[in-house]
Amino acid sequence: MKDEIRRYLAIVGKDLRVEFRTREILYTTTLFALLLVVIFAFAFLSDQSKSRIYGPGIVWVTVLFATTVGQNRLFDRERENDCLWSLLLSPAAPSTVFLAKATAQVAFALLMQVPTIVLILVFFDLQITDPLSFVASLALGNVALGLIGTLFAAMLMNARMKEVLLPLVTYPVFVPVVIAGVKVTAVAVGAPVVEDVDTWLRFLAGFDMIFGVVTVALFGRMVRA
Amino acid sequence: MNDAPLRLDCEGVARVYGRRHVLRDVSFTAGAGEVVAVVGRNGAGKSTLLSILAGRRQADRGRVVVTEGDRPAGAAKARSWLGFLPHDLLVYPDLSARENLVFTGVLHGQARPVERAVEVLAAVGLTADADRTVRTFSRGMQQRTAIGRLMASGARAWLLDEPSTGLDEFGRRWLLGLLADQGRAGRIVLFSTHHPSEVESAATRVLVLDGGRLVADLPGGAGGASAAFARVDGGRP
Amino acid sequence: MAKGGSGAVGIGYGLTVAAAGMLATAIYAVFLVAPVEATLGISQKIFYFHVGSAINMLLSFAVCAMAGLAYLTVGGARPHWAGIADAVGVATAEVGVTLGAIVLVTGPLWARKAWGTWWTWEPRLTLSLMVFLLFLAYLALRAFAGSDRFGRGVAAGLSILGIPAVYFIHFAVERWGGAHPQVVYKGGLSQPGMRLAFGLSVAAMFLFAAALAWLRILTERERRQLDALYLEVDRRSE
Repeated sequence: MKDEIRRYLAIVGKDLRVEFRTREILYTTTLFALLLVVIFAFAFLSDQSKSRIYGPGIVWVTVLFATTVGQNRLFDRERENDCLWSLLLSPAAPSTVFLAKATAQVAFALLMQVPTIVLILVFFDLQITDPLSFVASLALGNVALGLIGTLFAAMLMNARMKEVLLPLVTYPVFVPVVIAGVKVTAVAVGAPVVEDVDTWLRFLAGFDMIFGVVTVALFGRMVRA
Repeated sequence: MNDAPLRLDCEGVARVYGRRHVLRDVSFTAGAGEVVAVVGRNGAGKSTLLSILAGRRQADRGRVVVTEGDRPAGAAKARSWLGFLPHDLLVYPDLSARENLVFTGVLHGQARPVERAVEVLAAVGLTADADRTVRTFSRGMQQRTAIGRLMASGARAWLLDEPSTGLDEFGRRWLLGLLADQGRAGRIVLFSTHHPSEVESAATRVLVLDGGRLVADLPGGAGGASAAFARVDGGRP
Repeated sequence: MAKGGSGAVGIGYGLTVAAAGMLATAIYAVFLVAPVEATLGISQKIFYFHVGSAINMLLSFAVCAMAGLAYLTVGGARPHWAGIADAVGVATAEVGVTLGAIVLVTGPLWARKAWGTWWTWEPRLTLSLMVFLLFLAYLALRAFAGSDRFGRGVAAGLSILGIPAVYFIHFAVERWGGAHPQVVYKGGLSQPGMRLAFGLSVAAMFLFAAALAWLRILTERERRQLDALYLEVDRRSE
């Protein structure tokens, strides 16, 4: 167990180290996310009074798109020199490898989302009245995207059409996460909706737990299929 | 080494691609101290065989068993004993040579990964370039890093696919000496090669693959090398 | 492997004939036994085929996931059983896509008549759409995810993941949409003739799906036997 924790930390540390050296994932995905926000502003902002209606959706669509791009990039690194297999052929348990990669993925996604969400709040003139549940929905939602995205990004690493295959496979599964995230965010920015925030947060937490178990169990089997 | 000796059993391994066999029922046993050269024409199945032995690919029929003494190893144990050096080097291009070796040491549960990395860097001749990222290395230096990875992992069975790729003549001689040393230290070494001289100077045994079939299992040395390559040639272009 | 082949083909013929007979009976019951619904008129009849397809699509999905689970659990240890599980997986996925297409064509036709719009984000219709998309992703993975063998494993993983996914999608879209009319589902089967027609339609679509899946499994088996023969020839040749 102690060995596995050391391995887990080593893999996460390796990903962070490479990222802070090259900065390519954070730089490109953050810029992409910021540009998406600008595009959304032009597409939806002609009527400022509607910004609280559109804002939550724009937050989550931006998160979804930019995260997917980052997921593909993170495994481009493992594809070069077939490096993912240096992890899988080590004595590390496959679940350790999977959880470490998912952790790094979620960390990058959250870092990318901080400036993006600040920009959305400024551009769309939104006030977060309930920051706690907003942050909780982002954290839980990103774990959900990270678990499923990491599983399939790893599997599709060597596929020729991975850029489009990854969203094709993951987006149907992400739908409930986006629905829950948008609902919580809508309440958090004071949109005129009646939603039970606690139910949706519990829903997201349940999603994370169930898919945490399923993805960890599947990773080792799928990768050696 | 005070561990019980290791044995690698390849039992009727076959691998299929589409409607063709890449490997057809390959069986052999390699014991501790053996340095086995795998030779054969392009497409004979050398790389596939090594990657199946390493666990990188799965066999369609047959199996690979790693045994210590008389106890077959579980999956994680087998992974910790097997070291693999394929054409794709398994080293991170954006980490330095040192970082790659320390990372490998930690992954493989080595006791003092940092100190071990320093020793290995000296052994593969990369001390001066230890802190450059591997991406900036020449192919030969990348190959040395990958060989260092095997040393840092503490693997007891080395599986190397054309390990002399990119190395200069001095590097090649050094590598062959290193492989022979591993055999003397009680490790199992399997390496594929296209050069009779490499078989001659390092191997204690030669396996000849032809069309995915194991067609000859010969002793090493000059006699074995020439017999093996006569078998490989077959008069085709 | 060839022995027992004719028996399996016989079952295929049997299922096909039974499906055809049951479909004819169901059509008879739908149009000539069940009364015309008072408010929706003749257009309500599409409901029998729509819901019959939807139920069997979900069933196909469940079987596909079971096959995926069997495929990944049995794995390489028993190639014969893994092959059967894989054949069941692809067959039920393709049948599921077919049924999904029926659901998604009949749904809008009915929605147009009942609610005046082609598409409504009614929870069950939305769930059907998502299941349909998951099936399409499954087939895309099999086709494009890598070597035959690897793609099958990844697709099997998706089908297993699909079970909790469908549960969560169901929960989320139920609460997402708000108040779309559901009266037609709940109160649509007020009369015994309607219930008979409904039961027959579900059974007919089940037999139709089973016959398609069975025949697809047989063609998959033929393909595998052909592959095995080629491999045997290849193995014996120098």
